[in-house]
Amino acid sequence: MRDDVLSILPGECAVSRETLHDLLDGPVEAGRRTSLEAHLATCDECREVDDGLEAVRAGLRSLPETPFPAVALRQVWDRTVNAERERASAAPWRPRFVAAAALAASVALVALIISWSRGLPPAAVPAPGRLHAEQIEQVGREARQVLEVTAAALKRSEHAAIERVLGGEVSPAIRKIGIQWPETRSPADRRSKT
Amino acid sequence: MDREEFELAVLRHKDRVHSHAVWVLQGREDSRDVAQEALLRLWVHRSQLRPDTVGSWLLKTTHNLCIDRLRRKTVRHEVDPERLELLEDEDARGPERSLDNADLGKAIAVALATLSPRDRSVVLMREHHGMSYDEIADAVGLPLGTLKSILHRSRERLRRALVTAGVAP
Repeated sequence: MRDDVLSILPGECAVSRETLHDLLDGPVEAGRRTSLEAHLATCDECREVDDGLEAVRAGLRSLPETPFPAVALRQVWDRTVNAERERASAAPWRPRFVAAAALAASVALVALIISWSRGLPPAAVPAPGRLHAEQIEQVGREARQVLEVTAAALKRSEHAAIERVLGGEVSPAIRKIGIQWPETRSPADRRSKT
Repeated sequence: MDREEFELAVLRHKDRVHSHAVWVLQGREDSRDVAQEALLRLWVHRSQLRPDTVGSWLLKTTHNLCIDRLRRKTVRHEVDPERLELLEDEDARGPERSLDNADLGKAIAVALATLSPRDRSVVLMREHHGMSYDEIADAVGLPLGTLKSILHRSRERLRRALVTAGVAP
């Protein structure tokens, strides 16, 4: 469109309009600027275009801004910095996860102790009321293993790891040292015996 | 950019981001959503940005969100009725009215609506927000020559609209 307009203008006017637009984009060569000023001094129409372009620029610069609504800003804070703060304050403790892990460790330890006290084979106990040093060491090792697995679970934040603490990984370790779990009876067994 | 710098950037740029969306989309509800989305994206990308580039990054993001939204929806590119009323009031007062900045601002707002959203965005980035040509070319994904051509054409169109509205000679 611009080229069409320029093409129907007298030569000097077309060059001046081009220079006027280029001036809005940045500095132009001194020679072009001098020619433009000389032309504007004699051409009312191009002077009006110059004033009009200045008006456009002034109008665009003076456009009033529309404030960002306070409700929308609050939502931005809630979804960014406030959410991060909440996460940061909750992260060190991770209450539910810690509770679950502590429970897992406690259950495993209690199970170990009960099994050991009820199920040790007589040969493993040298004297009544006293523990064989080797057995104590072994139970300690197994307890440490349970704690290590629990700690790893905490570190990885994997619920599946806790399940392993309570499930498959502990039982073989206990079997290895010859500790018997207390005999468990199903509700059906209990009913049949009573 | 850390959290504190993010907060400062949001407070500094939120109104210009929102205004840009208002001008490009010509619709307030959409504009608020776009501005909000741009600020949320700033949070996501904050680690890759420097505070001195945030302003142009936000306008680039706002521009792209506006254009995406316009592509998804059929948004009518017409003048806001409130703005039309303002223009009609101006016309009703006749040639003896005073040409102050408020008149000019209103006339420009109406004239802007005659440009395509992309051209409107380009003109505003240059003349209102003072972005460099390189920044605008990067924001809208156009070569410098095309960008200058758009700017020349849009300024000329706005000038004619101001002449028609009687606020420019």
